Amino acid sequence: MRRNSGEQISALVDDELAEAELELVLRRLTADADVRGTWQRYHLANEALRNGLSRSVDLTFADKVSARVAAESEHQAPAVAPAWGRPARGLAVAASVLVVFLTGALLIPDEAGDDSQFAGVEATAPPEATANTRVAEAPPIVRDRWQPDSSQKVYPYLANHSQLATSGTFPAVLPYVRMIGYETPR
Amino acid sequence: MILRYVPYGRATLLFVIFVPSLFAVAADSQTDGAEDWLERMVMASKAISYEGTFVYHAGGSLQSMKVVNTVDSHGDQQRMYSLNGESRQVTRDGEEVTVTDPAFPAHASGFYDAPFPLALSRDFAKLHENYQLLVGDEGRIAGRQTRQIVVRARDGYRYGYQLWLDQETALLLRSDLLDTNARPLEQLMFTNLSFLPRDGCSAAAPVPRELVSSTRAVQPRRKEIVDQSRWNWQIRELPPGFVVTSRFTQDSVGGMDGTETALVSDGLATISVYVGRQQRRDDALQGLARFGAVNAFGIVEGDLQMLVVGDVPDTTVEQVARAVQVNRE
Repeated sequence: MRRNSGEQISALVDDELAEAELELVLRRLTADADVRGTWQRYHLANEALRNGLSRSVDLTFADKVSARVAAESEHQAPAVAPAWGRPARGLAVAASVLVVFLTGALLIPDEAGDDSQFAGVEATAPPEATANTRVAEAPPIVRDRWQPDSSQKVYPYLANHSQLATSGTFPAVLPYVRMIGYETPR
Repeated sequence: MILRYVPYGRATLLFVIFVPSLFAVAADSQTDGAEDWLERMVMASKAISYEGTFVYHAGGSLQSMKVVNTVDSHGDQQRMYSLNGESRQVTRDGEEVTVTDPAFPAHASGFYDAPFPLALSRDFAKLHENYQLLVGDEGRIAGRQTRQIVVRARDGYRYGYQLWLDQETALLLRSDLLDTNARPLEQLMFTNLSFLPRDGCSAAAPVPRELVSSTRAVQPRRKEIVDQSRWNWQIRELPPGFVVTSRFTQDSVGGMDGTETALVSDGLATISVYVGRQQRRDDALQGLARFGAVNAFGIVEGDLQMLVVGDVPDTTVEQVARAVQVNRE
């Protein structure tokens, strides 16, 4: 039975959505701010009715996603898209998620205001052989020098860390989820 | 006049002595209950066959994923794959984990050939040093009754969790990773869950077609470092509550040659410290970056790259990175 978007979102929240409709609804959820808003309202209403609102619920999560998409399109798309060779990427559903993640992970200052990022740097010459024991001192964090391929360089380490972390952490499922969740530029 | 106050004094004394004790007993029972729940959670993932769909939100990204967990006489296997966005899959068969990613065939998977000293289910005492465990309210997720478990960080060097476990089986149905201000950094929540018969679930969810032909690589086993490391380094001073749980070599991680890795843990959070020589100078990574709930901090020291990655606050990865000490002779 074909249902409208609101009914589908309601069914998703109530765990009554048919498997066949799931992919479509999630795609809409990812691409459409109105649908995200609906999902958020239904979910919060559902949770409030059943459990009382959790203090941990991120009430602004949908807005943050939208804001980051907007910020990306205003500030990052002209520089980033040509570098990746995919000018129309921001229009595609999957790419929207990718851009949101990348901007969230690498370009947008975090909530603490720290906008430092990885930057490719030239490795300096090896120290002299006579150098004694010393502590590795980090140079100042390089700002505003983000390079598009930095996240691609660091992805193997993120994946490796996730694999290693599965044995020592809980919930043990989370590192696996992160392995899948890491978005990477192509 | 003084005698008239004696009863109040006694009452006050009794209050001072017994009421805190009652609170302490209540707190202990909350904590003890939390331990039981967490232990059950750890066991449930290895004892129950199920499949379900969940939503994962981190770093501004929202994804849905499918998980199939099967338990049979040979052990437990788990398969998890994305339903939207990039097509990626993680499978675990006992100790072997394989990441299937058509875009990154080269670094796709590995074995776990050595147990870690800090296994959660056996080391709650260590956990208590750094976290407060509490039993929260009942709830309902994916049509199942849940119990909330709060894992509250005792300081700013680590994150906390709120977990919602299935009342009946203790399976994890929702997880919120909280930053140092108790704001969610990463959220996972099942939208549906069904239990599978033991030994009878291999066909429950076929592998997505686009993943079948993708490369399935196996990462070399790691080797424990026994004596001196190739790069002769150590971690000078760790943040409170963290200890090095193992050190080992990996043939290559990313663009790093002869990668030596130290795993650092506080009983819950894990930090990976990578030290090695970058194959290409322009691959060097320096500074801080955030990837959802995971932070990374890179330092270049001469020709060596030090990279620290962990599901801990940025200040913690930076502190660990700056504590790496290289001995040059």
